[in-house]
Amino acid sequence: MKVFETEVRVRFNEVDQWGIVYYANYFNYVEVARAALLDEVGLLPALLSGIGYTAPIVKLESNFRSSAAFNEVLIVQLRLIPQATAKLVFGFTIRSKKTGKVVMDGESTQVLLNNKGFMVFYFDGELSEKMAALHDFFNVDRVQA
Amino acid sequence: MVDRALIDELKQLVVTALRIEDFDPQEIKDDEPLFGDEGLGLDSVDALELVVHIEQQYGIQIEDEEVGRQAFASIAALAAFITAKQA
Repeated sequence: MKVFETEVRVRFNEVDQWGIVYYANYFNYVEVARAALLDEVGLLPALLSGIGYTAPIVKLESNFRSSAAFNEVLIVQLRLIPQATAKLVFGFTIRSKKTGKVVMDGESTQVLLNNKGFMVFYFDGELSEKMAALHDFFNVDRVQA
Repeated sequence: MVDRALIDELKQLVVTALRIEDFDPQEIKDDEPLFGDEGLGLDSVDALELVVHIEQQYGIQIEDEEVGRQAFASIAALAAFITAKQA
């Protein structure tokens, strides 16, 4: 399975009084990676809403395993975890570029809402094509339940 | 007409699909809401699991949450929905 990877550098305004990254800011790094990935596969939010869908996060799990400091370069990795149902689950891992040590890892779950605000239970039509492109990028198949 | 066998089967399906095996399927009332604060209290993400199992077992699709509101109103409603779709 392919992994999508991007780098971020910790900015001064992202660290707390102890000089380490404030925990909630790690999710911004995951978002940086997610946006870069979605740009690459042609699935940026504007495009998704253009075909009538939004993809809110409904679940987020994370483990904070070590800390990162100001100016440290971090590698953010994203994986697509195949699902049998109509949801998108990304696994993410943030590592220190210098030491390779894992700083944070976890998973986010997104569902798809149509333009009336109802969750879709299947990926049909144009949405199905977009989801297929995303799965192809990661070289994974959607799982049959 | 109430299809008793189908209703019992669906109660078992809910328990299996949502992996709540310690829950006795017969404790689910025929007419109690499956979702929301009352009744079984399932959430909309649980619906995703249910639709996959329902499709596998009965060959019918529940397209989205809007259709699901009617289909998942209760076990009895779900049985009626499946029966109507299969007709």
